[in-house]
Amino acid sequence: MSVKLPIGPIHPMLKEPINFTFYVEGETVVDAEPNIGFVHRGIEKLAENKTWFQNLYLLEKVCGICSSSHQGCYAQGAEKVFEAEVPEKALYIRALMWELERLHSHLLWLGVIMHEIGFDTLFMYTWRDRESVMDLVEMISGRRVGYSINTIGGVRRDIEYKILSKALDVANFIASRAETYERIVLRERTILDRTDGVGILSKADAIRLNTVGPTARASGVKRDVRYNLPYAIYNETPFDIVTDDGCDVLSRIIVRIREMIVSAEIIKWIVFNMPKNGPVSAKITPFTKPPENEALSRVEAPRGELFYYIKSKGDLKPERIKIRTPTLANIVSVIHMVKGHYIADIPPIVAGIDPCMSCMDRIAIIDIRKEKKKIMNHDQLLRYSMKWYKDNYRWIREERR
Amino acid sequence: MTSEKDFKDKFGELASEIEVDKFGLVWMITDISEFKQLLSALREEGFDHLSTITGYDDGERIHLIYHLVKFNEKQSDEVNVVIYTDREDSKAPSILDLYPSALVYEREVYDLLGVKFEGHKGLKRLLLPEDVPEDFHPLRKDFKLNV
Repeated sequence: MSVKLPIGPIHPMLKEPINFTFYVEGETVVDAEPNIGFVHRGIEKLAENKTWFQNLYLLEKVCGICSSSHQGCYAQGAEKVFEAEVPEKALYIRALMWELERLHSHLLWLGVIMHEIGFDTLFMYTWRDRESVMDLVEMISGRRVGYSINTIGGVRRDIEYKILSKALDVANFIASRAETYERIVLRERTILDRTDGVGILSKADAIRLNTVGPTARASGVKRDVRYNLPYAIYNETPFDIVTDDGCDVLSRIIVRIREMIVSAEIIKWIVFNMPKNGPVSAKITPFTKPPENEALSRVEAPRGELFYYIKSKGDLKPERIKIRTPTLANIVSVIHMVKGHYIADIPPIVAGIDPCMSCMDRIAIIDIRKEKKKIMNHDQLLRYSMKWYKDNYRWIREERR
Repeated sequence: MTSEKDFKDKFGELASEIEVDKFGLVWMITDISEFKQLLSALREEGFDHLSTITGYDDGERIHLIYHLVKFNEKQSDEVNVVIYTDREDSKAPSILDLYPSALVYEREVYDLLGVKFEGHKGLKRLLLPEDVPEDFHPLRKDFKLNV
């Protein structure tokens, strides 16, 4: 008897296992091969069997951290398919959630990268600050993760005036904290030793390998979907694209910290410019059938360009939904980045593109000269890399200079 | 921003159909024999960002849509190149030499729709386990879910 499983593309981003095989010569990595798909849930196939409104809550669960980006990106594409007019206030609330999501995602990542290089003090501080954003999104939507704020044609909840003033406080607080972090990161020897000059991705390579998001911007590529392909309210929003020419893990940290400051500015702009009154959603019922259409939708998620292709055949269910997550786009760049670096540098490089925390659950290291294969888990690799840096830091400092 | 006429002047010979839809997106339908030429012409024109490759089975043939972007200072250009391939013997040329990032996208389309990309060395499944049967491609329309 054959068993049928619901299968579709997955999302190799958060809390999901990925398996890398690194080929090393002595201490140097010469090649890498990622294996993904361990938590393949069949969401794309399943989405073809659910109605347009059921899919809102299915696609939100593609990712736990950027759930609003996924739901908003799908809602934005579905609105094009339905040819719906979205009220302006709904776009402001949606953008507010996107920017808050970027703040807490970058704070989470900053903690993770500090944990990867063994600097747990900063990890504790960033995660403490992240709670203020989490409390705010809970006040707005009622939930800390999976906010379900979007719907096709707008948002599901209006926002109260007193919450907006709280959003201002949070934006000011995070911006001041981000400035502190930038000062610490640029001065602290422990961080510089492990990140400066590690995981080089040149500008030409970043363009050639189609790298997206903060990883590309840390290589000096001035590409941001919010700016280059403006959607929602970003056409009117004044903001700068943060770039850095360092091309290494340190630049990726700096770019994300500065992006938090920019996001805080955007949040303040949204609060001051949000329309006071008006509807927050268009009238589309779950039994409205869309016309025959196909649409693309792009959103700058915290990790980079998020892409949806949506096709309808005029039914209650979509004909095809294609999702491309930013981590999948950056996997090819990671393979390029680790080549030529030491085994001890693998954790900060792989964490540098902001994949999931358990992404590096298990690593197989193959020594080409000895043809030996040993398997390390993430904790062992972390301990190995910290010990290796403790033993070798003198000559490695000389070499990097 | 490039206008519809510019696209028709530059790529009219290589694409069998060029149209702009109501959202301002450019759709180019082309034949497999001229597809690589069109893509390298687009790449030279500045369309260096491949967002992804969408595979879609309409029940009769498989559509492959290549979503390309040319990043401008404001309002970038988007082009979607469409080719059709047979359901029985689905083949398409690999574009790894033009866009190295297609590595994962081609493997994904092969995995879920069974399109063989000619010239892609070591084409294997990306998401599904390696031990599923050879003709198991769940995103095809004849694969039904029991839900």
